[in-house]
Amino acid sequence: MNSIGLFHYLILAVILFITGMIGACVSRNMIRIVMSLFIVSVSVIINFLSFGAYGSGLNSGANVMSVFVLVVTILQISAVLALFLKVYHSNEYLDVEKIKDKEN
Amino acid sequence: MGSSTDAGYFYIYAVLLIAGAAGVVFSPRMFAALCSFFFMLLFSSLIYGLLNAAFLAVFQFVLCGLMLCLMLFFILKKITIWMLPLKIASIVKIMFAIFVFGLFAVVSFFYVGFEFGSNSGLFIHMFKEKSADIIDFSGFLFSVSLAVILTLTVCVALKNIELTKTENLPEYANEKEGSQNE
Repeated sequence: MNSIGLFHYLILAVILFITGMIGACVSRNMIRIVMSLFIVSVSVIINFLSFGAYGSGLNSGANVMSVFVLVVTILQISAVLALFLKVYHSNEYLDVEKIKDKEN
Repeated sequence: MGSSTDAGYFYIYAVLLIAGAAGVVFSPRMFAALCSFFFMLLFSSLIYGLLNAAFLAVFQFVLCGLMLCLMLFFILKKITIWMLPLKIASIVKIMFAIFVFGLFAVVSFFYVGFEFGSNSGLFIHMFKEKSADIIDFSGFLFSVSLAVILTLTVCVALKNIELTKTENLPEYANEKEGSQNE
């Protein structure tokens, strides 16, 4: 109980992953969906780092991969937020279901 | 790594991180979601620190915790949805998601029983017995991969569920009445 191992970090990553995916599914606000997807990427990074820390000789590789994932996620979020601003200026709302209904 | 002090820190940070993530998803207002997002980034950085990734922790905290949160703050101010109430899918979807979340938590935490020795009745014991002599971590990889696959399956199902949706919403009902009056 006192020692923390790989399994504990993986369980944490799974919980974060599930929370993020549920948030991305049930939210209707686009910005909240993006935040939920960031939670998913945090869970992926924790997965990488935990395998790097408790695996055999993969620590530097895991760190590099995590930085790569983080930078790609940040860039993705920046681009998506710019798109959201554009959508908001044309529609005056960021509700996914309203936009979907408007398209239909 | 692995000392009792680290264990204490891990449990504290993990609980706060999960609370922050839940706050992002289910907070009633956008500003509360943004605050939860900031705290989630802070505690995830501390978790990275426990995993010998201090550089990544600082990098994420500066890049995301400060820069991204500020950017989101200004965007929310700019498009004036700072006090936007929580708009989520219908209650059926949420109940279904909570049920699935509980199911996955049970499936994932089944493996915890191995650490306390009371695992004879667990169905997952069979998988661990078969895989223990091959790869050490294949036992929990099973539960983790099962949870991930089930989550993705349910996400697809949630996206495809056609609910009562538009006709029961008040704005659509008003539009419908208006068109009928015309």
